[in-house]
Amino acid sequence: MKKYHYAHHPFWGWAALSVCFLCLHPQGAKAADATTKGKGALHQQQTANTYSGVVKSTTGEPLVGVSVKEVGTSNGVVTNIDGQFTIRTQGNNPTLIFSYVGFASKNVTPGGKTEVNVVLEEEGKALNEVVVTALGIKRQERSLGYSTTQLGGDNFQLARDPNVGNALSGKVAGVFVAGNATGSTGSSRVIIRGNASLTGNNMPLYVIDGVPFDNSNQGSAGTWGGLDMGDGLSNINADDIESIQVLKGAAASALYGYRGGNGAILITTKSGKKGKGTVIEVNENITFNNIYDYRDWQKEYGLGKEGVKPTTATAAKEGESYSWGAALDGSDATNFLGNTYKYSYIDNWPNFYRTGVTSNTSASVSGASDVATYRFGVSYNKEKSILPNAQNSQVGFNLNTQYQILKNLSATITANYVFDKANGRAGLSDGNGNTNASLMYRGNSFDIRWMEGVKTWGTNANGNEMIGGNNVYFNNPYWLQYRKTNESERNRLTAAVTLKWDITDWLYLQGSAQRDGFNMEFKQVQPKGAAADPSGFMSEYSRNFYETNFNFLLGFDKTVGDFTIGATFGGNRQHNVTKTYFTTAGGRPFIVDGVWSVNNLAPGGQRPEKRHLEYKVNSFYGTLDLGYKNQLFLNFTGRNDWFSTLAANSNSYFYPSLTASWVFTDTFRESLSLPEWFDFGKIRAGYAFASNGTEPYKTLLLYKINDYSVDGRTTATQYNGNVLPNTNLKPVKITEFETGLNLSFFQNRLTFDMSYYNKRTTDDIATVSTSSTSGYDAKIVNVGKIRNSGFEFMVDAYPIRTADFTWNTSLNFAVNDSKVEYLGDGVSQLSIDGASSRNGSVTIYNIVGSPYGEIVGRKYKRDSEGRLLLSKGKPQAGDVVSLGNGVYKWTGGFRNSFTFKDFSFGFLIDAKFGAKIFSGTNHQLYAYGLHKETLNGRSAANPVALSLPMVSTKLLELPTPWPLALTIIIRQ
Amino acid sequence: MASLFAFGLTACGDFGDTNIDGEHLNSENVPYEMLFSSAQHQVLGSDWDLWRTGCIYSAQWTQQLSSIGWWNNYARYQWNEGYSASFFNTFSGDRGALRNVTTCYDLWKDNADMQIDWNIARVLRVYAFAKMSDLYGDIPYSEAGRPEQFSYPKYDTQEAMYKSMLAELDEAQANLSSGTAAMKSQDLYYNGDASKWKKLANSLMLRLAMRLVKVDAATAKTYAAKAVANGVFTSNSDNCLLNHSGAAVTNDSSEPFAKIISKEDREFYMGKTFVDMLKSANDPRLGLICTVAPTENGKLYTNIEKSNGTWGAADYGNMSFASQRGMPVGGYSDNKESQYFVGQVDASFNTQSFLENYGAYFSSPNRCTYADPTGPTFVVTYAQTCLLMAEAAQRGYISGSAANYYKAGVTAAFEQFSQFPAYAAALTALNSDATVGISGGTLAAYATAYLAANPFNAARALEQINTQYYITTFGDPHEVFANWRRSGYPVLTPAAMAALDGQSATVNNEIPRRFRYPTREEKINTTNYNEAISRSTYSHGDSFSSRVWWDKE
Repeated sequence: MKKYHYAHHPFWGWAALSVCFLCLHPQGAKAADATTKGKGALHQQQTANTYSGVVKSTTGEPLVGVSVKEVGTSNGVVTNIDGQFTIRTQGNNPTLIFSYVGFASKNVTPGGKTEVNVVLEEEGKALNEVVVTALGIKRQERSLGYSTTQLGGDNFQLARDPNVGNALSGKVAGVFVAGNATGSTGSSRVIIRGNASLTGNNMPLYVIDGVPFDNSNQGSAGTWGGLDMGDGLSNINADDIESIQVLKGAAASALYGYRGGNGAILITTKSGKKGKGTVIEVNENITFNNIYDYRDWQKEYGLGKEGVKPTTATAAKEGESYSWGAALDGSDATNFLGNTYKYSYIDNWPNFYRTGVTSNTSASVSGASDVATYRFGVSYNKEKSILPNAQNSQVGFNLNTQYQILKNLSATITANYVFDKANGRAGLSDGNGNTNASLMYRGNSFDIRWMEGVKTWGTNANGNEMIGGNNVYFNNPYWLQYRKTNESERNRLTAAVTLKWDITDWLYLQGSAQRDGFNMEFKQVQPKGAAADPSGFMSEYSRNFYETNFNFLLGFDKTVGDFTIGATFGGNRQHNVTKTYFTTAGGRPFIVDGVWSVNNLAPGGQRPEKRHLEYKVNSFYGTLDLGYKNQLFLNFTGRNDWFSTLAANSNSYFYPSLTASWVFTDTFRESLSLPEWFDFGKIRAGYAFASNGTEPYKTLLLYKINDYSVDGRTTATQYNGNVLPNTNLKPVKITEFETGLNLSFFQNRLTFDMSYYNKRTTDDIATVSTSSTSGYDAKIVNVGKIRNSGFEFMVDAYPIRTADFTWNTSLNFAVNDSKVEYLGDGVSQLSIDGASSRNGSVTIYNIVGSPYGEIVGRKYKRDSEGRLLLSKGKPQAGDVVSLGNGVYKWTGGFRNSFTFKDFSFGFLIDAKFGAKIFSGTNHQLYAYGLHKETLNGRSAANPVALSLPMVSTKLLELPTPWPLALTIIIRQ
Repeated sequence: MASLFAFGLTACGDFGDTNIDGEHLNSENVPYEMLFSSAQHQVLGSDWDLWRTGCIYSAQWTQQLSSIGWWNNYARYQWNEGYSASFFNTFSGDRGALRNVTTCYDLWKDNADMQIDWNIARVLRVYAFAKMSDLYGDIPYSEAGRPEQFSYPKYDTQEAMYKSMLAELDEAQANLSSGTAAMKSQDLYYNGDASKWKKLANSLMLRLAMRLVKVDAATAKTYAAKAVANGVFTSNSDNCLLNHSGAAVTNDSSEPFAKIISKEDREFYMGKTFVDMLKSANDPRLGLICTVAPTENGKLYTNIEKSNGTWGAADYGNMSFASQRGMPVGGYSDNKESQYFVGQVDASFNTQSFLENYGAYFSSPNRCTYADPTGPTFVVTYAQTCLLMAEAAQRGYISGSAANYYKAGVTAAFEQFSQFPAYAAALTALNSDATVGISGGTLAAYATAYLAANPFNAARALEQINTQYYITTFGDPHEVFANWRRSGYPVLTPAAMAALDGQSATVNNEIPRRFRYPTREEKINTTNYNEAISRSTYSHGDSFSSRVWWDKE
């Protein structure tokens, strides 16, 4: 296979953002002289017919290493460097299957001919391909009764996002992605077909080479700030990805049972290829990032209050964060240090942010022998943040090997071992601790460099934080970057050993031991001398997570006349443990300056604590696939899960599915004389049951010993987070119906995929507010009912496809309509935990009868004609009402790629519509007098215009202050 | 391979103890007496809720404390949801005293081995709910703190609650004659001594009975007489108090009122009403209650972080009688630009240097006594009990001499200072005080002198008795507020500035009579909340101006 080397510039039309994105793929050592042996089947049982030929691509290139197998046997060979093969078959009228990664597999029945020349089409379009389905079971795509999308690894390698989850954005109809703009160490949020649950995280199950992969967010910012501690997907190196299979609905992921309800994303890593010799690949990728400046604020009035230019240090301090001063006229003013400066606009961003650099270096070696294939990859990622003194790095090792131990016994070992390290994760959300906020909300004649202090650490001569005003919570950004530090380290091993025994050519048994786990350490230090926290503070924790799965699968495959019968039966034991060691509620104060250790905290601030979360799930599952003439298919799956997390007498739940598909073009091709250009048509339907995970210790009242004593005596209190547990808790029940249509025309140059689904969630686990006088503020109950229904559409076309030039264009869009149907008797709404703004009193609620995620807040009081009702000249707050919905209803992507010889160029436009955002930033900009609309009323030329939308009702979307590589958000 | 993947069909659903969190206690193994200790501790309030309902509101409303800084608008009766609602914190969450005491109450009720403990829990439960009800009015009582039965408890009327609580106390005290509770030293008040609890039950009964003088004199009389006949406190050594030895201000272990006062600079000072009251009577307790603390940049100097809650001699400040100065009360502000500027009533604030350094001029609570985080929290005292008996005698509810009870009450109130661990430093300073000092004087000697100068006057009995109650209850703002509402003494002038900008939440800008419920109750427990506030006692709805049932106009 020819390796393309791309010069790629995805920042299409966005040069003005001064974000430069450059990918370099230096001419890596190319396939070192592929000495393909074109070996025949290892153990031939009998003499039979011999067939030979050449396999080429649609552009006429010979394909090296294509697998040629006789269907129904273990008999197979691979093509040599010239694409040639010779196979001796066992059967007299054999069907040969040609499969090659990146290309659609093809079945050929030579009939009387002995020369078989085959052209394979690049995959993604062809509909005969074999795809990976739930539990790693490979099935013909045509037989599937549900929607699934496969993405080749180049989707993640060419235009890189540090987080694989974010890179899914816009590429698959019905998959919604939101990420924080926190660079390589951040997290992503992927939602497929809407939010199915009120309290669950609603994220799909991730599976890497068959191993369930924990993608929990390790910490996120809430109302009062915090850090994005990243998730699991940032630990996956894009260069290791062979392909990603997105199982969108419950019908596709029902075999994952209790955690299949939000769909599944199956990641397959690259493996060694037979017949290619030893291949060494080296990739280097460098990205430069600059702050994306979206500001359009008023620059006419300077720092100060009530229209007055500060002429004393006291006035400068009082006005620190306000731009309600006098008109900026370049005259002398006084800053907080008492120094004189020219009263004019100053842009602090270029003086503070720096150019960030992200580099990815990866190398791999792969190859194969008669009895083994292997691939070993090493990667090193390093990011220098646009924020000073912040950086992170990651080293990863990826191994994928396969051994043929005996003629019918093979072993596969996969492992992904990653070390990551981050310093200076950015504080988000609430202003205290957020560097960007402490920079942004300053009066606009404030020069940030005044605050550099000693060694640019933002300190006074005495080493304390230098602040520019009187609000100790309004930080010095240099202090935040250089003195208030956080660091985290994580190492993670995801590995599996699988043994497969081909008992006969129609029966196999496979067993696997799998493990995913990580150790993570985190430390945050606010040193002594912080304005808001003079005695200092620190928090530190160490977390150890692992999940093990032991499973088996017995597989059966048989053809009887026109019928094919496939069946599997398997079982799994899952065991999850998370242990966290930490000091109680952080700790303060430090005793000795400069020793930022828990051993240096005053007594009473350093009790060690441990949290232990453990659960087990045992499962049995099976599938039954029936096919008729390779055109009509019926598939049943069933899985029973037993939970350690539920009451022993009611801890067993069954998750079945039934799907059907009909390739009607095959049925009617002759009878209706379908035209040649109508390649393929399939209708499908499915119905399935699933759930969305489980959590331990939700059924029992817990207590804790208080971390202080009273008059020498120990006291105890509740440890249920003020939420009453539920002894009779059940898993959430998700049922989904889906139906769809696949069409293909002109030799797969034009393909369509359409789906409709209706997903209902019942018994949703909700934390329902209770009167605090009951003793707990909330209780856990199975009450919620939510419905998500929607439509997905994808069209893919090759308007131009020649040997030298290819243009591939693809458009997808999806609409999801959600409705919260029931939240319990008499409960009309529930707030989403932590989803409230610090300013503006806005909270996200789920409201019965409305879509998931309503933004609720106050509007201004108005009369019947919509005019503001004023009290003493000021607008008044009205009732609390829904201001709009915060979840995008329409999502889509428009992708184009152009390949000319060895060069390719592509772009993706990712669009989301139909949601509103409450911008706390915007709210603050009004309050601080930075918003352009605050010019109204400041001068005779700008009279008060009260008809303008005002602060608390203003909903709009602002891009995040960070480059969103590759993504163009189309605003509503 | 088979051994690797051994699956037992029968074992599928059997997980043993996997779902039991081995790192924490659960309902099977928690020592419930520790839950009870937590309730005893948290029912007295934490620095969170006592700061809000206690200092920001009750103490400013009753003019014992004053803030012209952050909190002055609340002295003008402005409503703040979170502040007003904060004592509801003790219903749930970690602090959940009302839940924790109810859990113990229900658990021990039918346990023959725990009868003393149960009767003790009955007394504490009454104390807890009475305190809550005195602040808010009708509250959930019969259904409260029983989460597995009632998620949305109904609001009992205060009238029904009081009748039930008085009867409960009477039953409990009858069962608490002698013996030691199984919880022993986990009883933070009396180490499980039933005879002490009996006295507490009766002293509390007297307090609750006397709450009813305006609304139901007959019941008041019945239970006051019953309480005294059963046996109330007989000396300060009976006092119900919670010590905080070894406390740290970094957590909940310290005395909450003291923690607020000692930790927060420039927040609360002694109110002028209170200081002037003591000054005009030449009350030597002034220097035991107040100090002019050292300052740093105009703010009260605290070295609390360094010394971890204990004050050095240098931190005690100036305790001399003559130096004490009360901060103006009435909703004034230290903001020069403000219409509430305190310079209107105290001209010294018009000097810039005074304005910037006023912490150096005003009295704050004394760091040897009420502002000592390691000092005790007084729950119910002998002094209070004597004063209530004096009033009961005066009203003819009980026999005995009102004058004698008064005398005993005032004497106990003086001697009670000895229960503060660092009181000796204040007494030493007092003994050398030029104005009121007695060389080598004891607390008893000061009491005798004070009583000689301020003898009982039957014509002004109720005013005298309740003024003494007001003084001795300093540090328990909730009780000060309740007894002021009940008795009407001392007579307080409503905040002068309350009328200025329409932000006062009271009718005619008068001093509030109760706290508003959390708006969360209105949203979450709507039916029961609405039923409660539709009752006739809520003449002004759920507001500061409606009165609780016993606070009849």
